[in-house]
Amino acid sequence: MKKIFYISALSLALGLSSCSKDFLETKPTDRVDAPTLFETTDGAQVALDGIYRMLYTSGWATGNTHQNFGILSTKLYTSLMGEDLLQDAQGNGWFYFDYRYDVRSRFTATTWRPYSTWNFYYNIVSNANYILAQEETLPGDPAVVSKIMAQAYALRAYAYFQLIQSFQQTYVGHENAPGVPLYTEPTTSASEGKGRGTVEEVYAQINTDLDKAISMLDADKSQAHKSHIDYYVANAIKANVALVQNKWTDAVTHSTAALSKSGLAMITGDDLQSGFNNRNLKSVLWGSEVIADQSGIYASFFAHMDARADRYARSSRKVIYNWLYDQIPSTDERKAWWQGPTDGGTNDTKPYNQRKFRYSDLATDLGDYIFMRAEEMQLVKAEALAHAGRLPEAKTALEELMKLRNPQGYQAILNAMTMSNSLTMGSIGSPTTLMDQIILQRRIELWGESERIFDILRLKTGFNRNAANSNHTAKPNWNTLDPANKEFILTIPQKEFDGNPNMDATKDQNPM
Amino acid sequence: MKQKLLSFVLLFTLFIGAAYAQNRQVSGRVTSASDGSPLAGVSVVVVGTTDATQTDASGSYSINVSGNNATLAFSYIGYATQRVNVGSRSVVNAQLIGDDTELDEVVVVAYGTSTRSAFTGSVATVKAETIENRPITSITKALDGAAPGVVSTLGSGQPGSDATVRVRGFGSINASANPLYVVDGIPFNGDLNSINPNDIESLSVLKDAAASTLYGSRAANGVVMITTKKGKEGKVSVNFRTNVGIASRAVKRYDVMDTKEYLETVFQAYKNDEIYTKGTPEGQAGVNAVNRLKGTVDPIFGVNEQYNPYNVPVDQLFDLSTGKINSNAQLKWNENWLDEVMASNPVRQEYQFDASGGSDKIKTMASINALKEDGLLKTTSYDRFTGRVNTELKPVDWFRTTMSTNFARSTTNSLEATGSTTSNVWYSSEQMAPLYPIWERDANGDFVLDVDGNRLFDYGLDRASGAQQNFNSIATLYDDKYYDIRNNAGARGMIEFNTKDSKYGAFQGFTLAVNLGADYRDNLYTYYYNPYFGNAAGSGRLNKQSRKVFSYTFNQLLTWDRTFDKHNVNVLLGHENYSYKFNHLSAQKTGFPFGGIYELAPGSTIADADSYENNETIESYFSRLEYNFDGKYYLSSSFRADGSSRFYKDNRWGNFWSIGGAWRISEEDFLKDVSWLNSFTIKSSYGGQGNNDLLFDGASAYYAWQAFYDLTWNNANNNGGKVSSVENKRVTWEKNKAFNVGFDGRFVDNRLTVGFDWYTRKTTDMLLNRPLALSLGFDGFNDNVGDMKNSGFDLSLGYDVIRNSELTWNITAMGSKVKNEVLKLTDGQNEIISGSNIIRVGEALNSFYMARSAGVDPGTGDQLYWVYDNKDDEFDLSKHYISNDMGKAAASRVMLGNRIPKLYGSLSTSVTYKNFDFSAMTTYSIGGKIYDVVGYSYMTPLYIGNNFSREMLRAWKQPGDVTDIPRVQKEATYTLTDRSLVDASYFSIKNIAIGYTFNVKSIGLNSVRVFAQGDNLALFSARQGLNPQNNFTGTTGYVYTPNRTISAGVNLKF
Repeated sequence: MKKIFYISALSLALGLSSCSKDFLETKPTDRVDAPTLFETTDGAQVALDGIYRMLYTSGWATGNTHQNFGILSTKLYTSLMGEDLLQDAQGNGWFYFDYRYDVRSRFTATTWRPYSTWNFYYNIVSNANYILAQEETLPGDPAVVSKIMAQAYALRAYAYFQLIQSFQQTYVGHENAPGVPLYTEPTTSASEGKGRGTVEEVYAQINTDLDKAISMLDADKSQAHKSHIDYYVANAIKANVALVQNKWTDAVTHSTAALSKSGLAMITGDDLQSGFNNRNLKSVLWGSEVIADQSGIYASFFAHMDARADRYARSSRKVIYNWLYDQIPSTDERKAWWQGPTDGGTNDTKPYNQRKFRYSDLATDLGDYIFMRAEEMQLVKAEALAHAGRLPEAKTALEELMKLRNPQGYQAILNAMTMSNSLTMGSIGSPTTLMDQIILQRRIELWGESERIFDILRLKTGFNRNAANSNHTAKPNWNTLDPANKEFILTIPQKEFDGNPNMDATKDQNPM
Repeated sequence: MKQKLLSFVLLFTLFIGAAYAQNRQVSGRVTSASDGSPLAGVSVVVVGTTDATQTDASGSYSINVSGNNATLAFSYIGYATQRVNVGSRSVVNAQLIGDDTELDEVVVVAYGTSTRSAFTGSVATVKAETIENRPITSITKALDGAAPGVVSTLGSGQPGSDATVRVRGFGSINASANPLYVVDGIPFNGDLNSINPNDIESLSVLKDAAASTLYGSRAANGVVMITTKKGKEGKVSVNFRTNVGIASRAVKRYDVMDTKEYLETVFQAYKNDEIYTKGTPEGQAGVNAVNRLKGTVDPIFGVNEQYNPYNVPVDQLFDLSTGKINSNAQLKWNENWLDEVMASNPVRQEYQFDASGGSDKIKTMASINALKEDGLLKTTSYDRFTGRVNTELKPVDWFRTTMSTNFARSTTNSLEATGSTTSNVWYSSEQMAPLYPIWERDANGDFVLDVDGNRLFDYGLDRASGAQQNFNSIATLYDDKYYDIRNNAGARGMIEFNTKDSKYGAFQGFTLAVNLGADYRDNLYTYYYNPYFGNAAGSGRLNKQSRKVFSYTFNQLLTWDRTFDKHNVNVLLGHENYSYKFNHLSAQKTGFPFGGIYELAPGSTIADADSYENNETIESYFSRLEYNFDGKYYLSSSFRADGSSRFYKDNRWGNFWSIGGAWRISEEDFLKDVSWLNSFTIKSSYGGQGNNDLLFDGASAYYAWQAFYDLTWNNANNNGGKVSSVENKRVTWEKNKAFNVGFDGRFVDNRLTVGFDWYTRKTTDMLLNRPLALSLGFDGFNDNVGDMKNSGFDLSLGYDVIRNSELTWNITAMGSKVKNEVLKLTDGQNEIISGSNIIRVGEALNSFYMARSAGVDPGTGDQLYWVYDNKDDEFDLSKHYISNDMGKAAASRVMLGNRIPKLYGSLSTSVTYKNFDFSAMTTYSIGGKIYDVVGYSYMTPLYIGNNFSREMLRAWKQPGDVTDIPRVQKEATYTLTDRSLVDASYFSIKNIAIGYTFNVKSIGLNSVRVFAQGDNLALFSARQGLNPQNNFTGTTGYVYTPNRTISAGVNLKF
């Protein structure tokens, strides 16, 4: 019987001792905690590349993720909110709600544009803030640390710049209007949501961040990957900000700096018709490389653009406004970016369908995402020079682009323009001044890749979808020529009010 | 021997007594109520005297009584004592009811067993017979209506699927509210549908603190204890059972429009869009509508009117003023997408073979079961093999060991889709506008055939936007394949040393048991997308996902159980480790040379490859002290400390305790002789449990407190990470405190059984996503936020209306009520809004929060709303006014009730007559509301090409119409109102079973029973198509419709 107790005692002891000290310590295998990551600059670079990945990843809403694939989905829906780019049919419905201005009232849902836009850009902000919190403590080569931090500053600035333009009227004239909440500290469990502040404060933060980024990147201007923000991209972002703020000299300075990148040149010839799917095009300043397992398949830019593919564009072509198409001379090589007015019979050759943006490989859903090209900076430079009153220089800058696009006809067109920096054309008038031509060239060259509604806000022209025989399939019944219509900006998602004690839905929401 | 001695003494005293009384003789026969066999050796005592006798081998007795007021008491070991008033009768027969089966029920509780009348906690049980009567595949589907206080969903019709179960209300918000499932004493982590219901001996649901605190860490939402069948001492019994049935819809389809009704409605929708959005004059509006219907921007008839189902051109199809279809038009086709995907009479077949038996040294049970079930949806099915062996060995009196193993392998063919994706036929085929053909048609409406003469699926490149463009969900059903192969294996081993025998002297009463229980499951999902059409057209896509779960529980239990005179003491001390490991491995390839390849090797491009592991561990120390005095007064207390790996080390340990008492009043002297009272126990308990099962998107979040970089965010080929959570070291256990008071009683010859419990359960430190401003990059972080209370009662009543040797008739009624109230949220916040639901302090969880409809403007057909101007006016209805402003309505939401019913439960009956048996169960639920997402979407389709509800036929048409449905208008948007809510009450005929048992002893068999069963036979609810038991939050969804099963079978025993 004693034996039994020995055995009992033994097994009990065994049972208890089997529990080693770290039995209750568990860790995930596909995630790592921040301190581990920030032990080295390589780790911090991982955090930085995570942000770059976000820029072309779909998600950001609890549904409708197929129309939320980062920066290019912003470019597409903000283009659809204007007049130059349209959908010739409702198709599967993606983006059509943006096009027909049917998203603002959907702010209580977590599936629609107000939520996904807010969520996407604030995710960039919060991730950048975690990196920036390590600025003083990150071990490693100070030059490498500085380069990482500079990119985080630039990314934060870029996100705030997109946010303020999406959720408020343009800077000039609305400096004291409510802005968007600003955060420069990493989010912790003790963080509290902030109020909207003012537009001025948001731009001040953007400029502070960009100035830091530019000066820190000045030391090492190399770009390890086309998706990374280098000295030139940071300048390009700053040039765009200056343009919105009407700081013409700054815009000239920074667009010129952006264009000073060695090897950078505006594309010509075959490159123009290659589908804008290759980050290695010589004019690309900033773009993402999309590899096979990161393509998103349906949830991707090209799925919505390339009507040859068995994807969304097939039944809902992204089409050029026939008015804009008619402004393009037949000698202009860009005219081939679109099918003309005739119906070629296939999905791809429906009237005015675009072929500017195409998959690099249809079978594997591949195509790189281009965020910024030299041509954009060339146009910013021309516009800023003109505004600054430096008209001959402006004309030269524009000429450099136009002669690549329309070698035969550019001189005649430019010579016909009055040397004036006033914008007389509006949305669908005739171009008569140099400024008119700069903006027109901008609308043609950057069709589908600039945020057209941001330009409409900045230029205060409103838009007109009602040109003769307009091919628009949705025409709002409110005044689209109003320079600052409430419809042009998004509503703030309800979720923000639900979690932010410093935002009151009855006072801080954009006008309904 | 003891009994014989006792009878001798009794007989002796009888002789003495007989000498003094003027008596008459009463005789009779005592039989067993369960099978009518005679009982020998039953003591028969004249109550209040010492007169007694015993029955002989044939169960007969005779005894002398005096006068007409005598009462006889029949008692027998293992049976309940029965008292019978003799009256003037001279023959008094008695049927004794087995103690262990029907009367003082043995209930399986945490780390042991108890009896119902001696148990201080609240427990509900479901018997093997109840389970056997139901043609179910997953045990979870047996719980609906079977136990008071337990509520379940109807579950999906996908063969093999589980139902979701809740015990006593809704104890959590962001943490799991599922009960803990324990199989043979060990928490179970396999697939619930891998447990063969035929192997189950009993199922108990532990509902209160006294019952479940010993499972502290994970018992906050109740514990379902599943006990499998064991071998019994005695003759070896062999059982073979087959059961074959067919399935059909348990819930009817929504009442939707036919082609004519649909086209007339859609014409009106376009016409109203012209008039009310574009301001087109009435006369032109009809013309424009027709042009748009056949146009290119938002057409419904495709290209060149290819989808015009009528034999007249679209231009002549509509009467432009009335909107009616041309009366000369004839339909060229009339196809029904949902009917097409439904299988006709899918078969379910099940074969069970088991054998059990044993001696005093070894007892064993073994079973094997094969099941094949075809689904209501074509191509879906479930196949399963299960096997189980349970063995107990007891070589010497101080040592005992039990070992059990089980194995299950299943193959599920399913449709891997939920929500609003086109591949989900419960969304896309359900919603499909009726004009579209399933197969390609030519201009005459005849089928287009391929070279082999087969019909071709219509892939609808140019259908309307809501009608599966460039897709055919029916073709996908055949051309794509989703299947899941699962293996489940489990083992439970126990070794026990004891000193129960008195020979151990001072050491008597100890038992040391060591248990090791492990569950392993793996599954391999295959998602195959064909290369011809649909999602992977051109290249094909194949995705394989392997998931493995291994969990074990290892515990050491020391008990000491002694009786001193009238005092019984039982002490338990224990230690336990629990470990859970999950492994995921998946890969996806594209670029397949042709279709029908279900392995990755031939694919040319790797599109995805992923693997990860999750771990969870819990360590626990626990103890229990039970004391009872004289079988009348019971006290129990338990304590458990749990450490969970999910929490930071300083906040990891949770201490949970409970105390309970029971008083068997019926054992008191002053009640002992009350003839109508057989047993009566009152009981009460108080105590707590914990919950650590924090959820994220419905899945367990194993790493609750840490902030992480999610390393799956590679930027092309550069490693990338994204912050995925916010650190909170403070997060710790969600806690429950429950108070229970109730009674269990048996009355009137044990005919009437009553069980009643009233409870209140307060959940504190609820695990919740504490909201952050979305602009901080996260919508919240894990924290312990707020308190909630559930209270209510559970009542069950059973009555044996007739109980004689030929006929028995029993009726059982159960009723439960639960009230839920959120007591506290975060410090600065008293409500959390989530879509159309709100969690608000002072209200029930997940209350509906919507605008109120104020009907339809008879002049314009506009939807009208009750609106208010200031947030504070929400509660002052006098400040609400009527408006058609949608935006205002969106900001004018009010509380509109919730899903929780006022009363729910079941009514059931069973009848046996000679060899016939019959049982029926109905369930009911009264009160509560449901946001009928599916039904409402039929009234406000988001896209053109979705069908409408027939209720839309009463929509506003012209000024003066008084109706509750606004005018139909293309793409009109409405603010969600209470128009989407319906009454959640229902009554359902859950189950009917009928059987006949042949006595076949003459041919060497024990018995042959033939039976027929029906499950989910009928449902009566507020709206045709509504499934009121879809979930607990009160919404409906685009899900696999639940099934009704009607089956028949044979059960052979020898």
